[in-house]
Amino acid sequence: MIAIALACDPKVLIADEPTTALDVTIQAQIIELMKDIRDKLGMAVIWITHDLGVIAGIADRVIVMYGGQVVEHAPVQELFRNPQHPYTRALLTTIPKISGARAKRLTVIAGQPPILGDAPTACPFRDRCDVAIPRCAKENPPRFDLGGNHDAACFVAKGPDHAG
Amino acid sequence: MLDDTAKPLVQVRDLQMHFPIYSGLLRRQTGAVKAVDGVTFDVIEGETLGLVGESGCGKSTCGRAILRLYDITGGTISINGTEIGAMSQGDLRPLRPAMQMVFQDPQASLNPRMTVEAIIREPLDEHTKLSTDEKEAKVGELMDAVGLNRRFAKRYPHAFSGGQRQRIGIARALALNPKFIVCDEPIAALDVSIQAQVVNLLEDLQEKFGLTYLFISHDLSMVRHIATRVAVMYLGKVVELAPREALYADPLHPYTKALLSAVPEPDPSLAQTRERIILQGDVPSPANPPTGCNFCTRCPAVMDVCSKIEPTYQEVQPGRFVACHHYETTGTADATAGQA
Ligand SMILES: Nc1ncnc2c1ncn2[C@@H]1O[C@H](COP(=O)(O)OP(=O)(O)O)[C@@H](O)[C@H]1O
Ligand code: SF4
Ligand SMILES: [Mg+2]
Repeated sequence: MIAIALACDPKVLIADEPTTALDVTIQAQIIELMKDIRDKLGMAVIWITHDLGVIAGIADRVIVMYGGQVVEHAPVQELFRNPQHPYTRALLTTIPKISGARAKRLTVIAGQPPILGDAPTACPFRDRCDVAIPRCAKENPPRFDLGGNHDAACFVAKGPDHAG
Repeated sequence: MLDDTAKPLVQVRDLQMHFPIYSGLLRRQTGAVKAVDGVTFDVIEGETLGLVGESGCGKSTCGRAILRLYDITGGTISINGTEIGAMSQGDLRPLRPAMQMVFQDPQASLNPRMTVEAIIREPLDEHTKLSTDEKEAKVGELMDAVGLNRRFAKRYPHAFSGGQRQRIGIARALALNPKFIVCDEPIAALDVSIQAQVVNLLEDLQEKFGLTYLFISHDLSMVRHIATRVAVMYLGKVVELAPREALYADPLHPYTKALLSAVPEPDPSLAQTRERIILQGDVPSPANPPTGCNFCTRCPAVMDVCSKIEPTYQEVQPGRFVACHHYETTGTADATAGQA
């Protein structure tokens, strides 16, 4: 599969959940292989996954999507150190870790994943968000530039001055 | 929690589940898939024993065999002091209420033509003599216990989200006041944002009803969260069993080491520094396992003896069981060699 994708010497490779159905030891083999190829051929890789662990191991930059839109974008270290969108923050704390301190209880993201429908006229995460303000129900937040190649689509993340 | 008074609720000894392979014109048995091949462990009353390993290693078969959803091909299973390994399905019937199962795919395990109420009531119809009113009250209590709104009792499973469907499956499993529940990958089919809800529910129910769980999962991080002790399976056998902290902090078996090192760490700085053991090759077929140690074809610490003699599964430290020649107390090698 990977060989077919590489046959025409691509500049960009889109890998859509390439290891999701695989076991961790096989996943580790594939990730090592992909890193190798990426560095040797100097191509760009877009790796689509729901696994934050895989992202931490392979990505330079990360885009987080929710309800069909980009809610946060940052360099990988920055995203994990300083997540600004409430969805990203919730996602990072709801998943138990394989090492380090062990939470006595998992943090829950309340509610259900969104159902995609018409163009949103409000923030898609507002019903599950623990810092939502009235404005979140009236407007769909654009991506606010937070500096350092980091942006987030959240009125609150933008900072209290603009939260109005 | 696990002191000297800890009492085993379930005792599994040398459990074997071989599925026959038939071939040829006469459909003669020509071999067997050794899905579970000599597994021994206890499940202590009130604990969660995690059962981990990669797909096809025999986790589900093990869970189903313990509940006697199969006629096992060898070994013994005692639940609450009663030996059930060789019992007929008829004799098992009165014991069924005490042992239940929660399945991976809530979609597939719920009858789409039955209302939620009927799904949860079905085990009460089959195993109790409760009146209609009593059953209705019990269904209501169960829906409350798993966080389902009673107003939805007359709806059908398709009207619910994945997480809610899993709650229906859990309510049904709880209907007969079981002591022991096998949870077979109960969160694997759920959105990541929903998994914690279901895991927290399972923990709450365990505390409330004094349940004992066998929690089957390939998600090692989630098992680290929920399990009291963890058993690691490879190719039909348990290779290591240890209390949770010990297993994750200091895995002994070469396979456990490789498995844990392959779990992606959701922290970019740790992900870069962590030493990964990349296993080569594929898992052999359970119809044709290697001689000697089942892991010898892929083991980074393999020795000559490993392809000749099967290592004994034995207690190498208090509460820690390992099947590997590096730890055999009467064997050839010293225990530290396992660090390779
Ligand atoms: N009913 C069956 N008949 C024949 N082979 C089976 C049956 N159920 C499982 N197996 C085989 O047994 C092995 C273990 O399967 P399973 O217990 O489902 O593993 P796991 O749950 O760890 O993924 C696999 O090789 C599988 O193909
Ligand atoms: S017995 Fe040998 S092959 Fe098996 S795990 Fe131990 S060192 Fe590896
Ligand atoms: Mg399974």
